[in-house]
Amino acid sequence: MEEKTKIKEFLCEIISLPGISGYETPVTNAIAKAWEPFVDEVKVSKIGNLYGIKRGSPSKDGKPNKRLMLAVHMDGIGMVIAKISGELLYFAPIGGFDPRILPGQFVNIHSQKGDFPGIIVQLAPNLLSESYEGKPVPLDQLVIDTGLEEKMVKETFRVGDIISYANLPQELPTDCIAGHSLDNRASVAAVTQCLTELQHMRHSWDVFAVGTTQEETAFLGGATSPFDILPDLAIVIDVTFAKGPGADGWRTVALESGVSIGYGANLHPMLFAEIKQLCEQLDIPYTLSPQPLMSGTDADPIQITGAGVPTILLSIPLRYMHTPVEIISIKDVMRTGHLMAEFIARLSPDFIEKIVWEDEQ
Amino acid sequence: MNNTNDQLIDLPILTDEMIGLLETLSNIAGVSGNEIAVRSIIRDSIAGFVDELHTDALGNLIALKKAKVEKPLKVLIAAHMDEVGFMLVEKESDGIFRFKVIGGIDERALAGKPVQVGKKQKPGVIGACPVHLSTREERERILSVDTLRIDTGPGTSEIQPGEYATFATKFIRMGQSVCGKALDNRIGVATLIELIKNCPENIELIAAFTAQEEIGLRGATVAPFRYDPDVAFVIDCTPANDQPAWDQSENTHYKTKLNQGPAIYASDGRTMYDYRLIHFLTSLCENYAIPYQIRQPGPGGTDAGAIHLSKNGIPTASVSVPGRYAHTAAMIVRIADWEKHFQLMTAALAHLHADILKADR
Repeated sequence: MEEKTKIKEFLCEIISLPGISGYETPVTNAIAKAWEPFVDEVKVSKIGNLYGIKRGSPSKDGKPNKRLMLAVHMDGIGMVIAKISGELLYFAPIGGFDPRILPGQFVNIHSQKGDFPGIIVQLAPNLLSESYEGKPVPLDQLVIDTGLEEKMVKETFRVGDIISYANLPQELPTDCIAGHSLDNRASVAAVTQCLTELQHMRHSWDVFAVGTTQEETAFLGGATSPFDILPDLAIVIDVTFAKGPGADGWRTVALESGVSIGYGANLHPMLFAEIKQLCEQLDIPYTLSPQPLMSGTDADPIQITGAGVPTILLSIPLRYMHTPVEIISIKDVMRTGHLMAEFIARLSPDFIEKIVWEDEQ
Repeated sequence: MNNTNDQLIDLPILTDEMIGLLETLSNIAGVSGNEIAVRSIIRDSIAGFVDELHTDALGNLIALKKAKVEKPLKVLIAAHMDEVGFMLVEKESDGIFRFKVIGGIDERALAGKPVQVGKKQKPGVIGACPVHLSTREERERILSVDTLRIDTGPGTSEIQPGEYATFATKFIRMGQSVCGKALDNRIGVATLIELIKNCPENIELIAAFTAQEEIGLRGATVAPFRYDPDVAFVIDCTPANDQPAWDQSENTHYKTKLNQGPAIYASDGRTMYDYRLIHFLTSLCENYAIPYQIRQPGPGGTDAGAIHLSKNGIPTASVSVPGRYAHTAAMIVRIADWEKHFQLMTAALAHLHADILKADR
């Protein structure tokens, strides 16, 4: 099977699994299974981070290999039951989203009795605190209807049960995919593609593919995984805003425009320059992604871990972020994976020493 | 009642086959004005059971099943086969289309939904601006249809303005309920198909699967003219807004309630129903111990609004299946309500006779 098709199938598989922040296990297990053949060791940290460790060739001087961390968050946004009223479930958000996308949305409710389907609905105007005619119904008055009768609802659900989007992936023409949780499973697929390509490449650094948890809520995985790994260098892979209806301006790049390279205080400027140059050299399409403040990704905590970690941010363009109908192009996923593999293959044992600030050159 | 009509019949049960037919009917697209796919399934299902079958100028499918007696009572049963949906009206850029709503869809339930476009039900989405790029002020306004777009992905050159689209909802069972995008009114369609198959021999049945109900009862306006019905029944779906209110106050405007059986109409926004028929139906329910409810009089209506005004007037009744969230991506109906509705309509055909209409009106 063509590599692109394999990655597409894998991505569709992992966006069909629940992996809400704090409840990543179903998706963690699927990713671990995919990484296992490509790495020397797979571990899960005590707070749920997934580590796929691929050792580099042993160094000639006997020194330990340098460590590169590829950080992708595995979690996605979702909801949690906040109140049960008759047949209806009220809910609170996990992660940030616009409540206006919710009415009519299919969800799965993960109860102790199993998974149950439900739909998010807005009730008739006379049942709300005010009619909300011509206005969005606020999130705390939207409800989930499971089609079950009151007695069964009471027996089945508890406040605190987790809710995930239920819509299945849609394959669009020219290798695009629409679905929920493409933020950030698309980047998980890119790392998987990188590991696939590394099977046929020699590299001197140890590569730690890290699936982080709870990025959408507290950067838990990004803040803690560097302490397990002690990386010399980190690449964070996340998604960025693709231009489209409702999204334009300097924070957006075109869908299918390749890797977007982060630039700003949160990222190392010399590494940014290295990556950009490598894209040019390999003819990989790329765009620049200015980050005047924090990037809002795992790069925020990773950069300031311990004595500081030089950090690169690679982003995959994605339309309609934090809706259940996000769109990405598999081409951009493949390009990001390929770029990372090529970068890793070129890392010399003394690469970090050679990265010198402009004013010290 | 005459002697032959006095005997209670065995009421039918709702079979898995009927639920399967409903699933097929709900999943296919049949937006008002484009009912072709629905019509062809109906035609295949009933062709062997009727004596005449016509598609008229508006797309109504009208079947005649002749009686085996002289001068039979001619009974029209109408069920609309169209559903609400969308039409692509302008191609704005590669794969991105401006669209309009067909029928009464609440704009607030559009954003963030998967859709399917055209005859081949090609995938697309209605996206929304990422929450990260909108202001709090913007989020207090609704995402109106004028600002939303249907996105079929780059490179979809074969999709053109003029195509119809629907939500991409797949029919599911939810405990005691079924859920689908077009239960309104494919439930009525599925019921009418069964009624045709089992129609008593003393009745001449005119079965009208009407077009364009959702855009102003246009199919039903012309449907009664081909034959000359003595009496008409309209079968449809009606809202059940029976959930608890936000402040737990008594919900007095529920229209209908789930689990209370078929909803018989006394009056609605368009029709004062024939009380002889209302009495006939409620008496039947009592004789058969079929639970029933009178739909709360008020706005809204069915094809009866056009049919009872047809020709020199047609005594008309409406019996609907109560359901929640019609005209959204997902409507929910209790299977038991549908079964009781089907039983009432079966009993009505078995006991209907001309004397009912000889009483004063």
